[in-house]
Amino acid sequence: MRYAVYAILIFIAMILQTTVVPFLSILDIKPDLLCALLIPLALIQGPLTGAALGGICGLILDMMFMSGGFYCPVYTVLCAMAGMLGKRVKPDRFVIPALAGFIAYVLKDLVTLSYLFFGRVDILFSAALVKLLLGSVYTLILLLPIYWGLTALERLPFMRSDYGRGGGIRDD
Amino acid sequence: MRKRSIKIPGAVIFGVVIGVIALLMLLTTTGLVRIPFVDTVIRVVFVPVQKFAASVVQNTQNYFEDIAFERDLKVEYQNLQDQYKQSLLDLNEMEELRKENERLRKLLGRSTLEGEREYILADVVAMDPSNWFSSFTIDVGKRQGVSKNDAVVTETALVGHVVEVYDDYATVMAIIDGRSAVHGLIERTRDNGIVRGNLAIDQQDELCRMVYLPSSAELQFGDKVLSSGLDGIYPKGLLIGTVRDLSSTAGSEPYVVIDPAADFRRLEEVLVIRGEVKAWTQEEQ
Repeated sequence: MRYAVYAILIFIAMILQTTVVPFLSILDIKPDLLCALLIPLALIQGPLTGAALGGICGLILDMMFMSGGFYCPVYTVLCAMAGMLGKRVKPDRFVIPALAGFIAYVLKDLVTLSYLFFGRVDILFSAALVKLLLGSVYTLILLLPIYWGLTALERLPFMRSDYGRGGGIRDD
Repeated sequence: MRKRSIKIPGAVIFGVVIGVIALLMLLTTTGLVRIPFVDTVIRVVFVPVQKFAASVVQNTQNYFEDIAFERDLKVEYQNLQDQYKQSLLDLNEMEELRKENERLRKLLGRSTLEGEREYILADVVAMDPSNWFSSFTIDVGKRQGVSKNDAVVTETALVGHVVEVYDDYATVMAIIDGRSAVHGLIERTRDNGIVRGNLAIDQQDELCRMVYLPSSAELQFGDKVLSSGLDGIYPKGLLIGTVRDLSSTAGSEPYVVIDPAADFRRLEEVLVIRGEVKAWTQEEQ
């Protein structure tokens, strides 16, 4: 049941990210709704589930857009890292998820910029930095409420891994 | 008898997963392997929902815009009436020029410019989620006659070209994407250059740059930039944009800033130009 809920949430996030979010851009900068969902999920669920969810989402994005094929490994690694962080440090309500989200967003955009840089695209780094920071702030504004919502969702009975079968395994 | 369980370290599993992903990336980007079935399944699931969501968003946006536009409707109507009358005069003049051009081309022994273009109307159903790329999905594909490298336009301007095509959907890379390059031509001076996408660099509306212009080029603000047809992808004569800034340099490379004519923030419908494009030569320019 847990995974069905995740699948639905991710599906909705992907649809919103590719249709609604472009119209909500501020200063031409879009938040990364998928990052805002996947990082909290990884923090809560651990590295393996996080990496799997991130990998699947990245793969779908790579197939849908000409992104150079890096969404998949990037989301996989970032979600795995967020999952490891969540396993080692018990996330609080604000600092850890915000920090994890910020680092993940910055790393993701740095990989993208590296791809463009090595693809001989002109990059004005000062402007790119501003774009990156604004994007991360915009994403964090979405990430924290999503994290709080997910932690509340996790307390519901049907989200337990042993719901309906008397046992189960979690990463952590 | 008790079963023996073998515990595989998480790091090993993680390493294997990353290895498989890297291998798949390598195989698919080099074109050695195509997974059309998986592509199709994902698109069949996602695109109809994206299409629905996009139409809801666009209708909502249009509703609020309509309220604002209604105020200016009368003035706009009057202006359009005037423009229409002027256009009729221009049209007559152009028709004369076209006939004269045809006559002269026949005299020179060349064929006519090009046949009638066939357009396919498409809705934009999804946009790239990143801030660094500009590609989008349209709801027409192979079945409707779209093929790779077909040019995509709005009713007035060049938008991009098809980079991936499936049965009923296609992915388009916009000219403002940092990976895009269009061979362009300044309408007034006939100077050639390359129009590069600039989305990755700046967020201050500097979406396109024109580079490799001759140093003798004497450009003016507002000069129109058209596709030259030399790249073999975009047909000749499509409006790319207008010159906004003349004397900029990135490192040692001079460039001019182009204001794209298409509104990339409000792309709803586009037209795909079907069929092969005649590749022009420098002499034919």
